[in-house]
Amino acid sequence: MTEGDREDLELHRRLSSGDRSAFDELYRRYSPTAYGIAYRLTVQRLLAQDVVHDAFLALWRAPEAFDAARGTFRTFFLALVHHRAVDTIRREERLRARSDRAANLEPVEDEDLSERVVDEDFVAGRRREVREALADLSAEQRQVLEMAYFRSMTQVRIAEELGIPLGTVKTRTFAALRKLRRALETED
Amino acid sequence: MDPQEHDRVEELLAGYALRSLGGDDAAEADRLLSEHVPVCGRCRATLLAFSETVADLALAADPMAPPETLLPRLHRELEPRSARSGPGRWVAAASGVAVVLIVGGLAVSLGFRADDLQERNDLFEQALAFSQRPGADSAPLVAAEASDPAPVSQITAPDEDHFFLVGGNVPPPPAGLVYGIWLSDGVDTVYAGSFLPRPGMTVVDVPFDRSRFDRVLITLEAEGVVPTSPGNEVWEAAA
Repeated sequence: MTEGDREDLELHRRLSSGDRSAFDELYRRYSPTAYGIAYRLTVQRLLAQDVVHDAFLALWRAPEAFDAARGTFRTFFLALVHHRAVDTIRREERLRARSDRAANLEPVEDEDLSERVVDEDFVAGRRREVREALADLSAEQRQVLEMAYFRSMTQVRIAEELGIPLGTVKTRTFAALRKLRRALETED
Repeated sequence: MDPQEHDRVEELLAGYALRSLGGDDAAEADRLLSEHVPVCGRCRATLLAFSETVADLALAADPMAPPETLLPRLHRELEPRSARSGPGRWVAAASGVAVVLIVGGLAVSLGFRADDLQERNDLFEQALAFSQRPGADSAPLVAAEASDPAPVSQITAPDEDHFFLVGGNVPPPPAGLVYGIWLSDGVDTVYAGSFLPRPGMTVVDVPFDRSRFDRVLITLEAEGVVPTSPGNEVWEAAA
C-alpha cells in the first residue's frame, strides 16, 4: 500500500463520519481522473459531468460500499466511475457513433477540452506505470482491451468488427489483462 | 478442476472484469461466480486482481479538470450525515430479547444482542418511524423464480431519497457470496450495495429514491468484488 493509498483510507474514514472537508479532498484528488475517463467514454461533457456527479454522490451516500479489505480506494472509485460511464453510454445509444474517436489513446485535439490538470504525485506515478504497461502489450492485445474498456464493446462485437474468431478475442483479452496485471504488480 | 479448465475459467473472468461478456459467456460466468469462484481461492484471487487491473485502466485516459460548477452542485446535494444514522448501514440481530413489531403490516419477531442493542434499536426505530409516515407502504419481495413471498420486505415513503429493506431470519447466501441490491428503471440498473444477514432481523437503509426505479433486485454476488452486472436473482419487487 502506498502513502497515497493510506491517505485515501484516512479521508474515506473521515468522510464516512460526515466530514465534508474529507469529501472535498477526495474530490480534488480524483475528480480530474474521473472526469477524464468519463469524458473519454461518453465524449460529451454534460454526460461526463453527470457520471462524475453520480459517482461522488454515491460515495457520500453509501461510503460503506468501499471495504478496505477488498482493495484500495482508488480501485473501488475508478471502477465505480467506469461502471457509471458504461451504463450512461449504453443508455445513450446515439453516442455509439463517436466511439471510434474515443478508442484512440492519443489526446483528442479538435475538442474544446477543459483545462489539463497536473496529477497528484501518487496518481501521476501510477498513471505512468499503467501507460508503460499498456505500451508493452502487443498491438493486438492493446486493441481488444481498448475496444472493451474504452468503447464498452462486448467480445462478440469486437470479434465481428475485427473479423476474427471470438476465441481469438478471448485469448488476446486474457493475455492482455494477465500481462498488465503482472507488470503492475511488479511496480507495487 | 484441472489446469486447462482453470485457464478457461480465468479467460471468462477477464471478460467479466471488463464487462465485455454477452449471451452464453455471461450466463456461464454467472454460474461460475455462484458455484465455483466462492470455493476456489485461485479464481477469487484472479478475479480480484483482474478487477483491480481493469480499474487502473482509467488512468490511461488524460485527466481533465471538471467544470467549476460541479463541486458546488454536489455540495447542494450532500445531506448532513448526522441527520441520518449511517446511510446504507445494515443491522443484523442475533437471538436474545424477543420483541414483536408490526411494520406496515409485516409482523416480525426480533432478537437483539444486549451488547449492541442501542445501535440496532436506533436503525430499527428509524425504519419503524419511516413506515408510519403518511403514504408509507410496505410490500414483500417475491422469489425471482416463483411467486413465493420472500423473507424481505421493502418500506417506502413518498418524497424520500431513501427506503428500507427489512427481513426476518433471512437465510445466509452460499459461502463466498453476499446479497447484492440492484435498482432498475427499465433502462439502467444501479448497484446500491450489498449485505450479509445474520440470524434474527436484518434492516438495510438504501440511500436511493425508490420512486425513480421500477424494480428492486436482490442477487447473489461474489464477496470482495464490485459487480459489473447483476448476478443470479434471488428476490425482486416491482414498483
